[in-house]
Amino acid sequence: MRQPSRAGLVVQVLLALTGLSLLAWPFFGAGTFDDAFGGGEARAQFAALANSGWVGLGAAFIALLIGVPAAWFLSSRPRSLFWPVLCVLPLALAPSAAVSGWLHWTAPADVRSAFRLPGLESGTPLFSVPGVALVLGLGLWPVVAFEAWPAFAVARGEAYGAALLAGSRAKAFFRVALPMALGEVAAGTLLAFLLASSDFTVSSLLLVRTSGIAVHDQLAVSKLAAAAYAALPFLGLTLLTAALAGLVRRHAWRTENATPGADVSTAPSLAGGRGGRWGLAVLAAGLALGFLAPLIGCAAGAFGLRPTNADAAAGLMRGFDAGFAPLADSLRLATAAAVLATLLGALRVILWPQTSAWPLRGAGLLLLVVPGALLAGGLRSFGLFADSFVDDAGAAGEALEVLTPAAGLLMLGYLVRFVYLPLRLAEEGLRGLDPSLLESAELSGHGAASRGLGIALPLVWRHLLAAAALVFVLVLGELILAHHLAPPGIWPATVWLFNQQHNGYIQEVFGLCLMLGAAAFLALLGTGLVLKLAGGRAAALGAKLGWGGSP
Amino acid sequence: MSRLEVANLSKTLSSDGGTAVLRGVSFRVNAGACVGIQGVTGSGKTTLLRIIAGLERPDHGEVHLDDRLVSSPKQNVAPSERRIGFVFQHLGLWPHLTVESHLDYVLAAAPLGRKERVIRKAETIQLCHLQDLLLRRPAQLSGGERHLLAIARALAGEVRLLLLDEPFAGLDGQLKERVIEALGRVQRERRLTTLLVSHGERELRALCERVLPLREGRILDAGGSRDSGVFPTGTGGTGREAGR
Repeated sequence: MRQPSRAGLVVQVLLALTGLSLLAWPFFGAGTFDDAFGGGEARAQFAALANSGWVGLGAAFIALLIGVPAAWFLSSRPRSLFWPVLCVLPLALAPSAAVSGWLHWTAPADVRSAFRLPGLESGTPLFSVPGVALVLGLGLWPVVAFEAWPAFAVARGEAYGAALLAGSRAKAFFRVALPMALGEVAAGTLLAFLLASSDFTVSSLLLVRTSGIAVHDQLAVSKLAAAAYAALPFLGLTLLTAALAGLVRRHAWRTENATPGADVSTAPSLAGGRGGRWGLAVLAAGLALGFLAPLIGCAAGAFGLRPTNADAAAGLMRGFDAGFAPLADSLRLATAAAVLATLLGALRVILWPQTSAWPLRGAGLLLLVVPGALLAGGLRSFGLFADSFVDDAGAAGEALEVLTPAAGLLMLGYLVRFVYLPLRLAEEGLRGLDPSLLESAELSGHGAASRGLGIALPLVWRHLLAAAALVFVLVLGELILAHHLAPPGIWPATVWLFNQQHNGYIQEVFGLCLMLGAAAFLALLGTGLVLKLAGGRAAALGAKLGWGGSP
Repeated sequence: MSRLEVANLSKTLSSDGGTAVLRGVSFRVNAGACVGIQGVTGSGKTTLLRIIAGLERPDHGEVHLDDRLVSSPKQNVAPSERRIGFVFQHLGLWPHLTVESHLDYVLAAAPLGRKERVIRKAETIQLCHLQDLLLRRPAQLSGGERHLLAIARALAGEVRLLLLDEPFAGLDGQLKERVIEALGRVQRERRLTTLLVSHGERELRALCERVLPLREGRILDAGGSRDSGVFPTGTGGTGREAGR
């Protein structure tokens, strides 16, 4: 893939800086540095940062333990759609639902049903740094698996075959395949680390004060600048991690050096269909612990199998009644976010079909891993500025206000937060294309936009659809942006759950968690089916018309 | 028809550990001539074609088309403005488009009127024997038919230079004959300036008026090509002015 031209680079950098500027807006809001670090606050901030670090390390370790064998197994099935879709499930399960499910299995009924404050003896090990790390790690292992999977697919080539002839499978894996994919494994693990350490939902529900909560606490009292200052230590940690990732990638052996433009679907696989029973076993365990166990816990709680209150048996549907309205709000928001994210991805493909968009991707990655409360603070500051602009603009401002949807700020937040996914998947799709497809269009006289629209977009739409599905399920489970930016009248499911969960895990909580899990499952299943059907369409058409001409 | 002139072209690929793939390559192809470039894998043939097409920039040297400078380290006319037809080694067919859509897509960008486009499409279809395949996608074509489609796509626009990068790679005897026959017909009917890259002597002999041997990034002189048995060695000159 080509580097962007000078003009393209300028446009991409400007767009990236525009997105990143949202992180600077809160510094101009209310609150001071002393609010965040004055008095004994500095100590609390660094304690929160330490907790974030420990949570991140623990979760990354668990993600690594499950993600690497899962990726190795996935690489043995390069053309399968079933396994990748299955592997997204733990990531797609809303963190609120994961916490509810695990609490159902591990916490005594009185702990679950009572209002709790940080520092109180909870009676369950889940309310601790290792507990938070466990719940997050079990949900984040697909990040490692998906980063490492393509590299493993390439690594399963002749080099691995030669190693098999010289020693055991384990030796071939640890001495040849793993070193070949080390850069990607490290990138996935570091991403899991950052996602876990910036988490808000799980740590707040399990009463462990992390950096994400420290930022949220300042934002909750509208001290926007203090929230931004509170996020600074975490931003430092993020930059350190990014530098480490860069260092690892520079020194790691790169699989793409061996096979330029290597694509998972075409990578040679000397090991055939054998991914190893251990890979499958670990993947199955990851699915069971990351998705099935918490979901079954939610189901058990929702159906009152272990009643949390006296009248739990009043009706089977009782656990679901209260959740329908918040779920509907969440589904609407998630659908809109998925559609907009797809459009952004398509725009990237059309504008730069042959060139990398690394400035946009880098900015998108940073916006994905910063504490959600900092991003929410930036958007709130931007919203306040937009409001004052509209007030000053008179009639034009009124028209603008009418045209802007009520949840516009929240939608913008979702887009900025998850824009990395369509950008990344679009680029993966373009990278997988034979360069001569676009070069022949270029030689025939078509401009970049025409090549993007006529050639690239029809060939990478599956990647964009996968990105849309990911954005949909992640928005469904997103809490912190919804908590701070949802307008009056819109009450997303995660916010409803958050308010209830702090007061006790009643039947309705489990019911809504179960519905969130089911919605994510159905969305992924639907996407998988569409991708499967579309993939087989050309072949089916050929078979139907009796065209077996393909040699 | 255009005249192609390549002067002192050099290129080092940074992705290949800084290996020099072209070292001062110079030659000229007269308008309407078909010239072959013969060389082993890694001798720089594909890079040479990609620079001529504008898909890569040279480190040194120049490429002129009809006396217009199109490629140099400082100047690179966009590939879309060069009016070059290119048959890629792996064809690069568009999997989502039918045969007819391939031609329509190319013709949509060609500087031709509506009527001319219809005529050009019909001519190209006939020239490459694609009449019965118009509604098929590349996956529904045989190996030879795919090559014919790639040639048709390269010819469909208003091109003035045709570049063929190993157009016979992966074809067995009968299919190769079919493609050679199609290209010969193109040469006879369109008299298009053509640069054909191949390592097969048989197809070069059948199509080219002159062959320039490329070894380790350099065009060998006539003596070198004569020693290696390459057809033909030219008129006793340097072997670098081809297709007179």
